[in-house]
Amino acid sequence: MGSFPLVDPKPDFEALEDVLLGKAEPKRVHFVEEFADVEVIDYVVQNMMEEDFPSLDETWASAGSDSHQIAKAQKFLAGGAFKLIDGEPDEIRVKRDIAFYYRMGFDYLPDLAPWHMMCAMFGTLAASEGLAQSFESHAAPDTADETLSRGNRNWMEEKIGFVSNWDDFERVPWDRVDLDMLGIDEYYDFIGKHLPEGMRVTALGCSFGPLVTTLGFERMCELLFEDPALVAAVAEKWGKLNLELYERMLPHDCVGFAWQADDLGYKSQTLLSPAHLREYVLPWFKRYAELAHRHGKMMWLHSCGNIYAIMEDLIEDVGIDAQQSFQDEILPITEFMDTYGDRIAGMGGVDMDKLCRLPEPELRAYCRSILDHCMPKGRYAFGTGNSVANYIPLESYLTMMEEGYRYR
Amino acid sequence: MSVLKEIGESVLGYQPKKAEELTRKALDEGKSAGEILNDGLIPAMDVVGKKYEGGEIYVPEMLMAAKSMKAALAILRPILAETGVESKGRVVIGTVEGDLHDIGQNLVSIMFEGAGYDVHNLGIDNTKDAFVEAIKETKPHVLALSALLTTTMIQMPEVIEALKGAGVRDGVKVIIGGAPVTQEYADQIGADGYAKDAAAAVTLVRDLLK
Repeated sequence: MGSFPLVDPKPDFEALEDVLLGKAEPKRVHFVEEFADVEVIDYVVQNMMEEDFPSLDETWASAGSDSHQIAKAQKFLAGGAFKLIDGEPDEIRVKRDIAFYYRMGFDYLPDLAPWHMMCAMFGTLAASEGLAQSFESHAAPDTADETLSRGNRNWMEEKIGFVSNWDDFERVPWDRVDLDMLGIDEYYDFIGKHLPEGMRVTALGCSFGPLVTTLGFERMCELLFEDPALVAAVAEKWGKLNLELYERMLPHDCVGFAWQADDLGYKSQTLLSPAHLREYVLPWFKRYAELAHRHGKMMWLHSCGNIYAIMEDLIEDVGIDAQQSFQDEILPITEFMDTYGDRIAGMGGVDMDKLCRLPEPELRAYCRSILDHCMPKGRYAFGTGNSVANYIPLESYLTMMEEGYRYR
Repeated sequence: MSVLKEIGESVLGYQPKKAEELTRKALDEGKSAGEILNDGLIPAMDVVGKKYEGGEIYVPEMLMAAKSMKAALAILRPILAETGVESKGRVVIGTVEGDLHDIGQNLVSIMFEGAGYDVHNLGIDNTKDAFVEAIKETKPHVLALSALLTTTMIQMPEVIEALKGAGVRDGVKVIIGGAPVTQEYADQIGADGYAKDAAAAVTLVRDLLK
């Protein structure tokens, strides 16, 4: 449909960086997303591009897919490696993702694989010690259109996690999470060889999310009052693992920036009090930002929800350079840019609800209103309010992209 | 400090064990279950609600206040039932079909209980028929629907239509909430109200049932 996939993309990550840092005015609209769901990638690649890739096969489709991780985990438990690139399926996955984001006009490859694999390693080790959190009972039929549906979508367990008390904590084989096994250097060497000129790749991390998953959100809330030392201990473990991951990812030339993807809020507030976030979470974010900046790279934050109680902390203390994930019901991107756009970049902001439900003419007008407001201010890149989820009608996503591509 | 005020303070201090001990102490001192609920617990949960709405406390504090309140209610419930103390109203609450998110609606449930309502929590992933059956069985004053995603929120008008089809719509106030939900959407689908958070839900129901 329309201009996408682009015939002659011209990725320019340095231009994107200059725009986001306020060093240059944009010559065009740059696109930013946390990621696209693998079903969207596969559909576009199979049906809209000439490049020849095998069709979606859950044995290799995504480093994040359950069956692919299970296969790797079984190899790991049997004494084998747990490598990011471990055979042709992994190589094909990377090449396919590069092809998609390149042709969709992105200046970078959004990539969650190293972080996913670190968490998968942790999950496998914890399960092998009998500390298992089952996602089986938390799947519901996907609400996506049949074309893009994955069948069931998993939902996060909200009540309990792997660790409920100190005995559980001591049983977790923290020291066996060995990032050297992932083959990160080899991974980025491969990516670097296959990225088109002008493109970079993300170095994505997430530390609050695993803290919540490890303790269970409701149990964590109780522990904050009943045994805060346990919360601190788990936060320390994940904060450190995430730092070590960044330390391995950021030195690579093909890595363009650090992206801390951690949902800190919901509709009306931060998930924990600002005081708790300042104690257990933000000090780690600060270390990640400092590391990124030492490598001459930006620190982006993806956080859903109402995080405005800690926005000053994030800008002034942590030192984030850009924020993504906006919901019109909380703070539309246009207002965010008015308030904070002179200090950090804003990215995305096309509300997910509107993308899902607006008819085409209204969606086009809405996208244009965001572009009209945000582009002249600078320090802005266009995209969805969250991610290219498989439940967004594909036509609506392409309509949004078309408006961005044609905007002058 | 009176024991009823102490019970309130234990809820506001996020102390479930103390709330339980003080409730037993209050009963031993001759306080009725109704007094403990109406003069000890409910005023404390009102304060919790106001603090939450005012941004002074957050979800962990709400959950701990609720845990404290529930510890006290666990002792009082059988006595309240025996002595026929009436609740302020009956509420059925649940997450719509295809939606497995329940922490938000659990918080709403807690606040309703803390305000003296009798709450039937249907949990997650409820078909429209499940809501209709619950209405027929429980005859609540309020049905509260929750959804996290835009793509599950669209079940809400289906539930309202199902209530009409079953002839039970007129007897119940329908309120909605959740991340993608707005007042505009509530008006559009014919709900009786929308609440942006758990504390606002209680205020809304109090107004609707006046």
